[in-house]
Amino acid sequence: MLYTVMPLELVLEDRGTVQVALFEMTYLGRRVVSRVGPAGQMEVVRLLSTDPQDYLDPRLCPGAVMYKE
Amino acid sequence: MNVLEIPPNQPVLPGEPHFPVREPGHPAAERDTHRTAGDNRRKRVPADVDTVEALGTTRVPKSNSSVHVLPIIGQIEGHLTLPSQNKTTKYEHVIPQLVAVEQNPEISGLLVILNTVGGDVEAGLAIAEMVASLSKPTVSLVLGGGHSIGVPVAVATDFSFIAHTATMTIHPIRLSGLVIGVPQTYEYLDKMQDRVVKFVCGHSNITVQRYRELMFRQGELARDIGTVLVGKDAVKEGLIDKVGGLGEALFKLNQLAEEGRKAKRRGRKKVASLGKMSAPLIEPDAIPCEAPAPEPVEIPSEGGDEYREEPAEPEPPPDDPSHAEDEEACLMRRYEGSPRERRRP
Repeated sequence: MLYTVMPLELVLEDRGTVQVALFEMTYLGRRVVSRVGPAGQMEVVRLLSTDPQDYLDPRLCPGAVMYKE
Repeated sequence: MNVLEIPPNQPVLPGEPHFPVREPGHPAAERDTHRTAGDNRRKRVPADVDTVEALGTTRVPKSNSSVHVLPIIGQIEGHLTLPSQNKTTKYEHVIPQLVAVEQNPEISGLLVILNTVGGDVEAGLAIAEMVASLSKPTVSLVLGGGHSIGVPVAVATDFSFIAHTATMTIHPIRLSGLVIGVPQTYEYLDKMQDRVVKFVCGHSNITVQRYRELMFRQGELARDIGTVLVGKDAVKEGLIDKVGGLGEALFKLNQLAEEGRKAKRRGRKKVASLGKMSAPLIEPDAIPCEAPAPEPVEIPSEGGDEYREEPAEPEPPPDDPSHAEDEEACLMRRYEGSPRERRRP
């Protein structure tokens, strides 16, 4: 059951836009959401961490290209 | 140019940054030798300085933060995976993180930052309950918006802040999909709403009556009934503790953590002032929910007539406002022992 200020038709409607597949993985010991970038390389989309210091790491910034560890 | 060199026999401490030493036959080893030809001293340079100089990266030296941050953004996603245009905070991410925060001895407190439009009732309440039962100090900061199911999450912490411009929308839960037009539908909806109302009123200074009043207010929202509370209005209603920002929130969190440490040093395991103990168990049966039965009325007998009329059955009508108020009071009494109430007598 959703309890939100956003109109339910906006929340639940699938707009049918081309969606980029997102992957959840562990990178540099942190949980990240990533995607395949335009040049075929993996990019960080979102960092899932509660440690604020992790967000200062440029390798984990959104858009950073991921290298094989 | 300095290149970090580690003597082969020296053990590398765990967690210490190091570069692996290449074997002599490796083609890259020759390049390394060439690079270090002008500087034969085997010296160790600080790893971060070396990284900036040799690799051109700006790796920030790692310092451990004793305060962890939990951002609640977009929709709170629970049992239903929302279409991908929604930005979501998923409970399967948040709940294990909260467990980790509770378990890690190096973490002294948790800052919950909210900018949410609401979302799944059960996921929101689950996160709120987890935050409320955390034994470490917690502080929340509402930025932008903390609407609908964001309200219980915002009030679940030991202390809550709201930015001057942030808003909180309080409105009734709506049903989507097939709705069967029977009274049970409304009862079910009311029950779902009660869970949210009870939690919010139990963990903040707003009363059930006032919260419901705000929830069903007309003329405030364009498409719905309810109320928008901006910054200091939320504080005035008793929902949020203080208007403030990041500085105030972190200061308060450190203050609470320090109080906790002091109390621990004094040998007390639990800090009553931080509201760390779970609410005392109150037997639901011990609280009278019904209106008290009126005293039997003495009817004076006339002329020795022994017949006395029995007093009427004390059944208050269902729409009696006094009866409704008794239920509200009863609800609040159950929450009298909640951490927030005890913390601020």
